[in-house]
Amino acid sequence: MDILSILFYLVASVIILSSIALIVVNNTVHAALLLVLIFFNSAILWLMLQAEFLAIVLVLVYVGAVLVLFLFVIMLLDIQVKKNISKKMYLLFSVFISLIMFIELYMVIFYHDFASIQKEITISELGNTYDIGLSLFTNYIFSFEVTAFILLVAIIAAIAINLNVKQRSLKQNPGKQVLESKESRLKILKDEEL
Amino acid sequence: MFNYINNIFNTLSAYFYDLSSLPYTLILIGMIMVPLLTLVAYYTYAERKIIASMQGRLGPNVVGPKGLMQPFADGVKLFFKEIVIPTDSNKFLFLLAPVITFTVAFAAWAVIPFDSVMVLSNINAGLLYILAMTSLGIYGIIIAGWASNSKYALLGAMRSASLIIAYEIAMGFALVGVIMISGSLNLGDIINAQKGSIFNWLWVPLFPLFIIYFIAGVAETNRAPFDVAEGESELVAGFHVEYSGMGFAVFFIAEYANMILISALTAILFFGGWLSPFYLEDLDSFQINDQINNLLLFFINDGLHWFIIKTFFFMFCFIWFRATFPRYRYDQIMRLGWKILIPLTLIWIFVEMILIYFKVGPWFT
Repeated sequence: MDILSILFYLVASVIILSSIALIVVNNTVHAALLLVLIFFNSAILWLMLQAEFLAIVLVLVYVGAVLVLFLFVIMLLDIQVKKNISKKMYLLFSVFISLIMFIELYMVIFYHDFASIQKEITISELGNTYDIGLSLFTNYIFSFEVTAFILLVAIIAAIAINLNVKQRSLKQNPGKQVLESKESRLKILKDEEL
Repeated sequence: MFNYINNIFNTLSAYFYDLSSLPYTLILIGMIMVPLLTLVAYYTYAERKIIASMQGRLGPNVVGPKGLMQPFADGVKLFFKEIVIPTDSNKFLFLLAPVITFTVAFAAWAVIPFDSVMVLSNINAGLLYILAMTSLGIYGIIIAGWASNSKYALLGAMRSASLIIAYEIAMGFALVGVIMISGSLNLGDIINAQKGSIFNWLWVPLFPLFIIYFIAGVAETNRAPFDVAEGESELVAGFHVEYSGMGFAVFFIAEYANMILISALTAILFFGGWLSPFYLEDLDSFQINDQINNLLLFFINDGLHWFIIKTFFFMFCFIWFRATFPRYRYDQIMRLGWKILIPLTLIWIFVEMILIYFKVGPWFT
């Protein structure tokens, strides 16, 4: 067994164990941090497949941005673990959901003969960052632009939702602050005028 | 002497891809870590001395000649302090947070090219790797703030995290400008794209992006004037308020290592890294058997010393800012980040696009 397969089994077992721990732990902050661990180890797996661009982007986007916002919300919400829900309900739901997922995965893997799909991946000398960029902006330019457009709509929608909330908080108006001058705020009075 | 170090580095680098040469890799890592940690120690000393002279004080001057042993005195003091773990805190995460911050701060140095050959790992996606590593730095801060079980620490961590998220976008866009010119994510290639004199460096065509990058860098390291995360008058010390002794020291070292990293990156991306500001076309014809001239020639030529000089200049700027600017208010920081810096970077990327299309100057050919 060479060092790469040892590393693979190590990383894979970390992913599986922390995935199990993720759904078992009670503390939501711990769960989010376990998700960070899973993403990080998946990045290592991709790195071992020489997909360094995808690996780094996984760390950059999911670990560095998305999960930070997750943690952000979870830490500020002060979630209390509800104890009155019986564990039977949990069990019922989890069995139901995992059954659906199992059937779906079964259909994908065995109906379409997943194992026989083997495409030769050629990486040019300039590295796969270059290759991905090239194919994204030539062959897949339409889907790339559509994805970008959907994301833009999502951003605008998120901002619009927040703008419509009535402002109850006391906020500074920076525009007014900038326009304020010394003359409008301070006045020097002489003794006689008092 | 630099050539001598280069030779050692080359010989050692040849073994790098072989896994049986793990000790060599460790030596290479040590060759980066040890000078870096020494630099961090004396950066704190320099900060106190420079700010003192800007404010008309003396600064540390008791331990050793001119107070030069002060960093070691501080280190020993912190080492022997008791580590207090707050009640009801999450002990595992509380101890993990400084380790994460420290690891991430130093991991980014793996791809920094110190010289045309002196680089630990010359990967093609170097810039992405650095972005990924610096974005991981938030975890140390957030976990520290949450695990401390303290309101001050949690508020400091949240402020710091939102600050980093806001300024990371502007920073990323500034880097897009650099990538558009160099056409590569490899830091060595980015420097090679700036070859020539001081006016060929990217700070000339990308001046607004350079300013924005440095501002975002100052904000990301939580330094003044963006240090709301540890604003003494509001939050005592922010996310590391509950840490004492070595826990605090590790956060402190990581913060200074990050400052040095931002300075080094600014020098690499916008100021040509190891390149010399002078451009001599026929440098080889200057072969004069004169000791002084040779020394001068060595100084004028490209080399590690230029990288160090440039990095030191930006490190000085960090201290300069701290002594000069008053602290921003939290909403002012957010306004600056989201409403001024990000639109500015987008505008300049568009301008750069036009400049590239018309092949302006020596930069866009």
